[in-house]
Amino acid sequence: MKHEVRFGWIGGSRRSALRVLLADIVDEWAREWWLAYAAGGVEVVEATSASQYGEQGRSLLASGEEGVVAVNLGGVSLMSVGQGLAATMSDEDSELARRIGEDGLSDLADRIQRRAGCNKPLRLVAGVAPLSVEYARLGAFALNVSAGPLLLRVVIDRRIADRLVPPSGGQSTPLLSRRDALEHALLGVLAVMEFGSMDLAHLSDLCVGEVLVGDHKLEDTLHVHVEGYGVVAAGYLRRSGEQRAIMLDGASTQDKPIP
Amino acid sequence: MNDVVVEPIELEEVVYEQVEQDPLIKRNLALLGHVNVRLEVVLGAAQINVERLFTLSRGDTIALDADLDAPVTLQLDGKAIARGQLMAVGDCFGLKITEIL
Repeated sequence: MKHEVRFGWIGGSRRSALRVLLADIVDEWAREWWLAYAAGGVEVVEATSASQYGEQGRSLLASGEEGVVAVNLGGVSLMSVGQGLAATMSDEDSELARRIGEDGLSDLADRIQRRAGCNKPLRLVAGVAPLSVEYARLGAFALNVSAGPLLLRVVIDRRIADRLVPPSGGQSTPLLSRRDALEHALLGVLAVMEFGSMDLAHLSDLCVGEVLVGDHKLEDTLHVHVEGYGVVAAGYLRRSGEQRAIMLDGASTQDKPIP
Repeated sequence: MNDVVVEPIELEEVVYEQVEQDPLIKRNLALLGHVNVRLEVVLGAAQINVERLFTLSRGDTIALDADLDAPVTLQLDGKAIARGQLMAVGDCFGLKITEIL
């Protein structure tokens, strides 16, 4: 599965809207999963570091066709997350704590995906973070979440961001790859004949009605110029109905473009 | 045999001075009367897209935006200097001037 990564930051107004929306989701999630919710506050702030995903610590990803949600644990284990959610420091049932941590974070990712309208929310699994959630310049949006002892970084890619807060106005116009767009770009083409040479004295005396005789033979080829580049092909002057036309004979033999 | 010294040539540095003087060569085109210039005739134009440009092959035709009897443009150094009717003069192209400045 490979997605095209698009360069470009998410704008300030959309980032602000995303922060508010995700903060609501996180708050709702914390209320249901964090036993000490009533005692402590949940803080959600936009991450401002260059690397949105974070270079250290355990990373979990829900990565699919509809986007990527990533959770970085900042070096703590799933068991610690579970203990934090259960508001206990006891190591008595570490496997239970680990499962609570895993299920809790998966539920957070699931809530984000569902709010984004993903048809098939994916469970978090450990994996290598794609570039799309690593850099803000590639559309990643990251939040630092703190809930009591829990410190998480939640990152979404542009696709999830677009689903949560769709681009407005002209930004909603789907982008076409430059290559595809270029294929349909129009070029100006000129049919040009090297007519011949004339001395300046004759040119100065040129008058209406005079017939200049060139040294270009009727059966010689003409040049096809692409405006802004130069000669690209040679061809013969023909007619196409009532219009002049050029029938191509071959590529240009000129080495240098004519300005 | 004389000994000839071979050594790198050293040129004197140009000194730019803003001094108002009469031009060395008087502006007189008659002096250049026998100098030949190359003329081009623009027969018409067309617009094609990049995709078509790169798929054109021998025998393909590009229709121009000019009618068969439309005047063509005579160019000197890429600049239009006259218009005229394209003619056949013997086995060469000719141009009957219809408009000139």
